[in-house]
Amino acid sequence: MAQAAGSILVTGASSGIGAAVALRLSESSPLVLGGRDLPRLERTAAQCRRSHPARSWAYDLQDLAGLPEAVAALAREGPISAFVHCAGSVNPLPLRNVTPDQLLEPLTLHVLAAAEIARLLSLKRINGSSLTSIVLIGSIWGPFAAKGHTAYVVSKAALEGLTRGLAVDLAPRVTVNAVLPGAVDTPMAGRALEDPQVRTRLETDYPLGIGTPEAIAGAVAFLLSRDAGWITGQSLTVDGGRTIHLPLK
Amino acid sequence: MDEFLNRLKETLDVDELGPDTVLEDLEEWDSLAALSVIALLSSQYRVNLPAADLKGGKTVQALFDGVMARKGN
Repeated sequence: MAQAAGSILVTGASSGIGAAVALRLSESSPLVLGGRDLPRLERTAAQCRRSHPARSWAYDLQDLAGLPEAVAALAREGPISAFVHCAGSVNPLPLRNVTPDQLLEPLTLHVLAAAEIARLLSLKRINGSSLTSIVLIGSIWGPFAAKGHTAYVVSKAALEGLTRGLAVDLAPRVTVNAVLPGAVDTPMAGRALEDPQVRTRLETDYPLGIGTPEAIAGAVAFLLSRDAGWITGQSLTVDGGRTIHLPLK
Repeated sequence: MDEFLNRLKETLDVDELGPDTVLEDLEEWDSLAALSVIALLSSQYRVNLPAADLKGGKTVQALFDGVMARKGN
């Protein structure tokens, strides 16, 4: 890990990719675990504490206005050296039902909250010069699309724009990258993956099969590491070959 | 029931919808339409309905009765 003294903030740490990222990073760093539900966060934190200290931060990221005070309070408890934004939700709807509010909800969670946390953690008066790296979790649906997922696609595409913008604005002190997972077996994907037909089709589409949260955590750990010190503004697709696969039939 | 019908018409973007309408018979019906109905019931009636409950020739009336019964619990 490249982190200077400080903790890594992981949002969405209650379950799925966020929990796997937290567990992986806890092998080498203290953590702050963000999520809405304190009891669920505490479950992840208890597992992480076997290696390093982990504190829970219960916060609803739809509340952008409260972030300056909340993030400042976090940083007062100890500097934050890296930020991994895993908080996410997906709510497929036909386009006829996608109102501006439906567009704004994932955009707020995936992009605006990440932008605000990154901004706050980069302020010297809040976090000194502790921040060295950021990884945002995007999606293979950022550069592509899927029926019924316009709101999600818009937000994940914007997340890649945010990655590049932050990378330039925060250089040379901070590296900023995105990881774009394909289908990963998590509670968020759970309902779709429970359908045997969907699972069979995905297993055909994915040359390396459906992904695990640990596979995403490995990519995040790499992008936070010293080995990735000259990589910034990039989107790393981690999808078992899904997006380079053109099946013959 | 009238309010329920109107909300369902708006969600599915259909003009004609009555208590006897079978959801799966609607031209607009597909898995995404089912998700939009589940979202409607969750946001407007605080009822979380499994997708399987919309299958099997479910009529609008049966859906309404099910929602009212769950809402009452």
